[in-house]
Amino acid sequence: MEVDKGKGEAEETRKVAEADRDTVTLKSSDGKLFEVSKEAAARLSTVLAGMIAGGSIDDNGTDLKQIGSEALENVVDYCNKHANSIPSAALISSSISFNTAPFKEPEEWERKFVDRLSHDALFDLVEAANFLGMERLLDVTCHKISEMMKGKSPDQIREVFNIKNDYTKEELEEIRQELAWAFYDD
Amino acid sequence: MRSGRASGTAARSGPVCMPRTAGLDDTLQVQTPPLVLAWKQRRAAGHGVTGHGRFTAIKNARGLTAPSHTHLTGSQAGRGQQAKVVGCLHYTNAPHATRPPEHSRAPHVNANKKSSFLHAPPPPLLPRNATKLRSHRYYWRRFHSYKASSLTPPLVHYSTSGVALGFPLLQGPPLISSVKATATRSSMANAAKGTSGGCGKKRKREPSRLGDLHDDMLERVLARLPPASYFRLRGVSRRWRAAPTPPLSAPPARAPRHDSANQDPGPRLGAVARRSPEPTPVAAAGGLVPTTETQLRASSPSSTPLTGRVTARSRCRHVRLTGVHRVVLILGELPKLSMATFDSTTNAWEDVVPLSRKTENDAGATTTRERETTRSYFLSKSGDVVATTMQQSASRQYTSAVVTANGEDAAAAVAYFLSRSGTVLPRILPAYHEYSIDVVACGGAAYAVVLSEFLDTASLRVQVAAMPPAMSHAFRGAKADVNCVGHADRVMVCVSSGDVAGARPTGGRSLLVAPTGDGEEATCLRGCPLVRTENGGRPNQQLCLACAFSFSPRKCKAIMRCSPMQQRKQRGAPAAAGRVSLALLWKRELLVLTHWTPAGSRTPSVAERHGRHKLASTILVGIPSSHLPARRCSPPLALPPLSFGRVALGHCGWIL
Repeated sequence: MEVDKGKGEAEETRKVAEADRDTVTLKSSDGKLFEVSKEAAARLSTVLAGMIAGGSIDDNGTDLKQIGSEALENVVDYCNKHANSIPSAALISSSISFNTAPFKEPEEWERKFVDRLSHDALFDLVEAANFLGMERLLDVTCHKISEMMKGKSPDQIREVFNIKNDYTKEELEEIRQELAWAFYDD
Repeated sequence: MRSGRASGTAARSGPVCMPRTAGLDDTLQVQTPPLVLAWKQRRAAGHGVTGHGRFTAIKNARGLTAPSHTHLTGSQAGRGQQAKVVGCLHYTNAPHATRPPEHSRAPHVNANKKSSFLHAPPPPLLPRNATKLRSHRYYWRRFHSYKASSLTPPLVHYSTSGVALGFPLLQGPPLISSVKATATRSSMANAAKGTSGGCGKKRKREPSRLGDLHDDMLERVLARLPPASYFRLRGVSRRWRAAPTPPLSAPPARAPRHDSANQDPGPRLGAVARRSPEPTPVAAAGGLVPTTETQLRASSPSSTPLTGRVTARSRCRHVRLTGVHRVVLILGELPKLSMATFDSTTNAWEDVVPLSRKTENDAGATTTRERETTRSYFLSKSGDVVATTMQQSASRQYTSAVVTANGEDAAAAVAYFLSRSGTVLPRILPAYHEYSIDVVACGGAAYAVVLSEFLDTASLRVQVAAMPPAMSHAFRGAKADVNCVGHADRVMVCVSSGDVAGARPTGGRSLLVAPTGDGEEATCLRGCPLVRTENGGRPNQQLCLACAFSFSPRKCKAIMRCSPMQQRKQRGAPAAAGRVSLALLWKRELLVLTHWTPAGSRTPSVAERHGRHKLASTILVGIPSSHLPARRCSPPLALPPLSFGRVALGHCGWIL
């Protein structure tokens, strides 16, 4: 599956898409068009599945105004890679019933997929996955973020994640007292 | 690499003594590690390099050890970069190190020489793998050897700035005040922000937006953290702290008093309701049905807190119910037991089914004697109900153990109960000699653990196990309570005394017992910090094990190196009375959930101990598996199951 950025190319792929009706065209907030196979989209994203089933897919590009082109590119990339990897029943079930099914550790390619992302791209991807209802992708990205958090001190987290410390000194000390053991770990 | 403010500051900053308030520029740019110089010069003078020196540690501003040559190239490129190098070169393993060449020992190094050094190519023969941090004790030996040899100590030792001194270790040598060191470090961090990242860690110039994660995503992320990280990161910001808590979380930060009753959340086992009238946890086999019958009764199918709770539990990460599962909840006083089942496939509780006992298995237990509820009745060995004066912890109002006879066969499950007024067996010892009893499922069989007092010592009987003598004497007359949890081929027995707060500083201990039946004595958990009693001065500092549950946390990596008591002591925290209310044995690691009462609150009376838990905060302690006895146990002897009630569990399973 190709990711098109120019309009001319998009035009072409749209023709291809019309030819075999196998794909869904998605349009990012800044107007770029991406194609993803209908089957993968429906399987991985509950929102897209609903749109496909409901017939609200626009052949000229379904507008996803909340998702920037970079994030959408990542999403499409993920879908394609996912389609290429061995589809496992467990994955599907886990994406269906998140609440009860155990989270499976990310597979190798998923790990690589999120590892190459920058913080911002990761953030956008999480938001996009959330918007599109892609449980598995959400799991993988959240897993990655928690991996980034592991073993860090609150100070480091604040620095890395750019979070303002809104505790007062007294509150901080209280937390430290309360959870003294946690601050002595690793 | 860019050279920042190289020449100007270099000229300004005199090499010898930095003022104590020396800023980053001063400290870092000026200080050329003289040993580097020495080494360099020795090399230039034709000394062999091999075996001379090792630059063993360099820490950069991020606290990462960097290879030595990185440091040197950084120096070479410019001193702006050097601002990142917090640390230090430890010159070790070199017989010549104690005597640097003459010119390098001079108290000042002129700028030209220095810069020529800095612009020299990095020594090519530095060991690449020499990034191991040396203890500063070694450095001190080195340092004193300088003094002893009455050489002029190298320049770097005179500096008062810990960072530039070459003491990268967090615990600086005494001449560096920690405050100073910290200040310098933070100023370095700022400087590091200003310059670009020369260290391996990728730094973002623009602020990361990851902090703006939506609450839902934040919850997902936090739920994946191991417990220690999770708790620690609650300190990041208010929003993070307010994020929904995974199970085993701490109760709210406010400290409820013992007499401020109603809103007290009680012990929060995972997600016990805040307003539950009587949050008494009930033990269950394989873990996690910590709830009471009142809660279930009060809960209607539509708006049931229990359903919500267990559903919430089933999605939590630490106590995860895998796959299709059922939660079996056994309720009621023993003659009229009922059972409720939670089915994950329908995601709902089924109707409460009264249980009927199959009497063919226990001939002796058919005579159920109704007793007044003020007295306690316990399961005994042969199936009779006996009124005793045993201690009973509040959290063990009901106990059940569900055992499969042969592994996975659900239909063959046997449920054992220990109830406040249950029918049970003839006593093992005369009345007033048994103090506490618990049943535990372990290795496909149920065991009764009886704490009894006999011949002036308390003895713990896990069928065959005996307490170590010292422990026996310690617990004599202490009216201790046993709580057990079984896992694999072991039984953990928590012995706690109700008198811990009194004059007898008895406390409690934990045993790990392998009920092998070969007459071996119970093995004490080595160094088990579950219960500690301070000598003399601080009688409040006690931990008391009140209950043991078997849990299956998904990730229990929060392993502590010492008990929270020790840590609190180290931190000079106020004394607090603690009670371990929950012990988890998972794999080979033991997790203990502790509830603390705030310092100064009065000691719980007996009534309170038997009533509600009113405790301040929760602490999760892990004991590393190395503390557990490593002895391999033979498979447990097939002791005859306590043939009390063979309940037709039928289609029911239990939590794995």
